[in-house]
Amino acid sequence: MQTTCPYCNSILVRTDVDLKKVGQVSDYPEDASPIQIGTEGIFENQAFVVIGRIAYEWENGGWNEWHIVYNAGGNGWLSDAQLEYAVTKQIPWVDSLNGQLAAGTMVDVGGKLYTASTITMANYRAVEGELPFEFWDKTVCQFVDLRGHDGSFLTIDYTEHPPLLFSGRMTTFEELRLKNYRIFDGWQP
Amino acid sequence: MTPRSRPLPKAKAISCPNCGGTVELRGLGTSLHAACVQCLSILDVSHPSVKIVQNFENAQRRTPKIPLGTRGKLKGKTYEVLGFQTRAIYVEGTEYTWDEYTLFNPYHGFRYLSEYAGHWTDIEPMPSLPYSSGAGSTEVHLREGSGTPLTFKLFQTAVARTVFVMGEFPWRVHVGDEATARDYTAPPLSLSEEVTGNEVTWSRGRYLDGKQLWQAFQLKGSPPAPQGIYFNEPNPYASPKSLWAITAFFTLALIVLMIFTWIMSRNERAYHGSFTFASGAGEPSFVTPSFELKGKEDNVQVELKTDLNNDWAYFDFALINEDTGVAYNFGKEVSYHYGRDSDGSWTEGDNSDSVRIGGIPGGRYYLRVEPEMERSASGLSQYALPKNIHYELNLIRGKAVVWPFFLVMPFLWIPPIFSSIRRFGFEAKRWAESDPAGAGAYSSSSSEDDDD
Repeated sequence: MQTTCPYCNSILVRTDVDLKKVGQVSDYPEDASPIQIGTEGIFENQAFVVIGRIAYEWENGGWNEWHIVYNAGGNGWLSDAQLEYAVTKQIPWVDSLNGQLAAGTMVDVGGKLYTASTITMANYRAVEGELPFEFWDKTVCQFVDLRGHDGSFLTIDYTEHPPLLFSGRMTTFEELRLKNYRIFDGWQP
Repeated sequence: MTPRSRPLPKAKAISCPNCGGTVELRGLGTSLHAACVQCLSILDVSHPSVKIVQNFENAQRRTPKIPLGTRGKLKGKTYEVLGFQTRAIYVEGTEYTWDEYTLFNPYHGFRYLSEYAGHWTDIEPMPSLPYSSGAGSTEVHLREGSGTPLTFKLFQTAVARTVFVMGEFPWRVHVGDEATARDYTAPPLSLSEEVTGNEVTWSRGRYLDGKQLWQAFQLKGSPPAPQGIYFNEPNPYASPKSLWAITAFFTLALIVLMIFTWIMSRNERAYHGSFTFASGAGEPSFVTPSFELKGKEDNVQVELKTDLNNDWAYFDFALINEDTGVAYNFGKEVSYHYGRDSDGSWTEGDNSDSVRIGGIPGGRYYLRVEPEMERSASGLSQYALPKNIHYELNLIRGKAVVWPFFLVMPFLWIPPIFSSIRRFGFEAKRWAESDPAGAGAYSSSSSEDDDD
């Protein structure tokens, strides 16, 4: 378990009871996500709360993976890529995704067809709050996003072997019925 | 000590590193590139150190119809205009341009407006990818929610080139950017696929009435009048399907009514007689024996069968009620001619004919008949001889009258036929502009080379 100290921004890794300082979060560049730690929402009738995030940046902008914990137990990710939202959770690696995926490649994952839509070489920009794994010193990592024909969504994180696979679907700000989000000057949701 | 807070992004202004003018940044940190409104330089604003990406000398300036910074409501949400770009395609050597507006809401994200010749489309990113039924198919299907998938037809394939940029964009826009764009339509909806390098982006659109848009953004004046028919413009003529259904129903009802009329008609012979008429031989008029006309009010049809041969005869009738003396007068000319001329043989008229009168009450009647003929069949009147014709009279009570049904039926069919012609005429005009394979676009690039 890893967490960021809200006072000094140190990243702490909690392995059982030991806390070990492993690194410091760089100052955030301005970021536009309306979501923050403590934001609550409902996805498929499951209430959740946001407890952490990883911010990434790549050539074509930044995005956030917000770590969410469901009230009923279990965790997942709420991703916000230029205000397009998706909710996913990690699933075991699927062998049909082995090999190089190019944009436009179609893959059958558990009987459902997905098309690779974006290949991203991303940098970690920042972490915040509680994350379900230890922070590790990765600077560049490759992601592939895949989209289905019914709103379903897959993300592959190639920083581990086998890669990490997250499955879920696209959603909208309204659908999540969010509470305790950030309020921007002159804007109401 | 308090937790470090995330700085809340705000709309701000920077000065253009090229011209020193003010560049407004309204995207709350979502914009990657912004084009200076004064000098049109494209700036990288994704990092605090703003860099010039492109600058232009003597760029042709275009004015957005909806000014940057304008806010309006679409789908119940407020959006602000952040960016404006003009894009162009080249078809058979001609440049066609349209404008696109980037709209922003810090919670709901981005949507876009496009305008071509007064036709507006409201465009948004889509959560699902459409799928095609097979390789080479010119249709794609989109499933959203649990409903039946919508089918979109490929309208146009073209290479779209960005020719003018102003304001902010959530991607790294450049003048000269090119994308292969495929537009699909299911009016008023549309799908667009844009392929650039190794990225494929789909978006969905809905035709938007200019007046509605002007109201939604509270713009002054009136929107430009739409020219021609746009690829996702809804057909203003309603589908004639329901009209055809109604017509089919009434046609069937009419047929049933006709059969009913036929069955319910009395249609019986009340009198029959055979006569000979000799023209110019004494008093021509005579009366028949009396006969019974059954029922209440009904029609009476007198059928005449003659042996007229290149001749005519006129029959004057009076149907007289034996009890009341009320007479119903009517007449009929029977004429039958034939011959042969330079065009071949011809005939005109018939030696059998009939006449019908309606509203005759039941009772006992007799018929007064007065035939009339020219004395001669030829023009040689002074040598004309009296001549004889033979004829039969048949009097039918309650003749089934079905011709009005056949007369009415075509009129019944006019509205759906007219409606279908209008609707399909509109579709024909729409699809006349279609270029699914992008053939025009490709031939243009080669012809441009020829011009150089």
